Amino acid sequence: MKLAHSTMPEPQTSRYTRASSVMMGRHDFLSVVVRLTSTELYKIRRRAMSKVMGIIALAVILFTFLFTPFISPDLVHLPLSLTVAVEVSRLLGVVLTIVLAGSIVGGEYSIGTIRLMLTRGPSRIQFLLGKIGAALVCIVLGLLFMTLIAILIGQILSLFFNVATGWQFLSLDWVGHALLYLLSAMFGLSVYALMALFLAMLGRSSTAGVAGGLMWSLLEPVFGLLATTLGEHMQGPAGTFFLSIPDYLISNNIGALLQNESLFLTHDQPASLSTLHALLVLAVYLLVFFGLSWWLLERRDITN
Amino acid sequence: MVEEIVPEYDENVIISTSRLTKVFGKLVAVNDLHLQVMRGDVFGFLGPNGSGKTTTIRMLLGLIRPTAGRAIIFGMDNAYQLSPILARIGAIVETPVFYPYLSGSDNLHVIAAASGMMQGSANNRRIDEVLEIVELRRQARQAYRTYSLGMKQRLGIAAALLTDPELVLLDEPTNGLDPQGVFEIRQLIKRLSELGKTIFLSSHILYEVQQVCNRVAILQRGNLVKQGDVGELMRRGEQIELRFNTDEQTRQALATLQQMREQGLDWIGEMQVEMNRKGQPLLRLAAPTARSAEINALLARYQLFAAELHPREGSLEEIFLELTAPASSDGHHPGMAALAEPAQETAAIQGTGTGKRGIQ
Repeated sequence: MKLAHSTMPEPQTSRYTRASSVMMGRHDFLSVVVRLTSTELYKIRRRAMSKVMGIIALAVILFTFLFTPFISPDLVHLPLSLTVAVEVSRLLGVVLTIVLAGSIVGGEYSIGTIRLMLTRGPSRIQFLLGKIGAALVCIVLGLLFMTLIAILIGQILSLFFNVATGWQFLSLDWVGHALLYLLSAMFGLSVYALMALFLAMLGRSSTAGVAGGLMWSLLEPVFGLLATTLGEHMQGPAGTFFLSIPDYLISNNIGALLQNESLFLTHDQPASLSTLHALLVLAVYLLVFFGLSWWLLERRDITN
Repeated sequence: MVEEIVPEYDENVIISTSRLTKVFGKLVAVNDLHLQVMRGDVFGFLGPNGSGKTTTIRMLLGLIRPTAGRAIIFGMDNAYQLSPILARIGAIVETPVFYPYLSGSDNLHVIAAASGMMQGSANNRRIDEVLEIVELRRQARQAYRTYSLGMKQRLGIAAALLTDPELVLLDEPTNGLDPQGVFEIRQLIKRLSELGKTIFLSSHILYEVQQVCNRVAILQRGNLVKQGDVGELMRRGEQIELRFNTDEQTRQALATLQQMREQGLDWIGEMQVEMNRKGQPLLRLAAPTARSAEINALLARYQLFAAELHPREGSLEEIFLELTAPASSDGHHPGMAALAEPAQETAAIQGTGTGKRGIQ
């Protein structure tokens, strides 16, 4: 049965006035999303999990930089320490991002608060955007914080290891590329965040988001290696197909994006994949994860 | 084929559902539901477990989508204008759940922000007000995970009242509350009603509904079996009980009243003879209690003098139990006769035995 919506008469404006103690905020789409993002960040801040994650991040950075001088003392000083810091932050960040994004969405299902949130007025897309916004803020602040701490620790350690410190590399151009390098790492992490968010929504639990996301990130390199091995042993179009699979995996494209950007920082070798290819592939992943999450949230009933 | 359903917009109609249906697989949870809740109503929504009450509430709040039909709230279709509708509703759906790691007060801050209220300290006064209403101010800083079931329920009510909504939708709000808590919620509902709010109350506690609601709808297996004014329903449930000194007199009285009804006294409804606790026969007839003296006088004309006569008010519980009792094999619903117009009633005069309206 289809119902004609257009025939519905317009409701009159409500004459109801709320109590004077109720201070309503703005109700435009963006204001609601910003308010939900800020609320989400407040909840993250109040969770014990976030504090534990912060401590783990600090410990890993400290541990890495304490041992790095024994491998190569140059790695603890800028400009090389930036790439070490971002690489460590990114690798650890993948795990932390998946845990965070998986639990902020999955937790609403697991605890049952999604029912509460979706009966308070925000639309489902606003609810989803609020979650994504909070995850992105955490990624940006988290990566910045970890990188800065790492660089600071590196600089302090370099004093003890008598590393020849020079600042000749420092230029406006270098700072610009360093920022792009950081942005690339953040972009990469946001793909994992959206993946965990989608999986949590699919499984309607934190476990699905966290376990599914971690499994994906762990199995992806294995899958890439298998595809390459198969491709090398096969001939013709099938072999080419298998060999091309790793070019479309998340981790390889994030790696390529970072490597191509680090060229300007450390004069490294360029990656086999172009920056444009990596950006496009990652953007497609982002869109697919976001689209599927939205579709699931919009289509599904909120039941127990 | 597009079926046109154009409800008349009336600002006094707060909720209006039209052919609202929800099917889960093969289970028809709610079937063709037509509800109408008017402005200022305290509307009781009754039904046994699994009758579709919560499913209906979830459809009204947009948590689940109807398989067919529509729900118009404040004159807006909730399939298309859910956000502006929800901004005017405060609701509890089943047992309220909050963030366990936050305190009661912090949970309300989060909900306030999600409800479109300003963030920060701007709404501290309002949060204190609602905590005061549900008497949780002293425990406001305590983590939600340490709350008892009753405290959780009260926090749910506080959350529902946070935006001072026009429509308060309460799904089993007294679950887990002690008798004092139940009484307080009843008083709160009365106060809210006096403030002009419309209350939609789903409850199993029929006494509670009878005390506070002016209108009621009863669901049974997803179907609406009754909707109407509580007072009117209760009047239809009124009975007169007569006890005579002998079985012979009881039989004669039964026959006499049956004859009178056939002769045109259509306000006399179903009659039955039951045994009371002392084993004495008791003639019970469905009739307005205001006619007690008339019944007495009529029987006295035939030298039938009742030893005892008890006018009994109708109770929602009895009506509910009759309406929601399983239908007999021939499809007859025992409660429907009691609620039918007296003129159309089919009196099932039984000899003895205990019917649904057995003596308490």
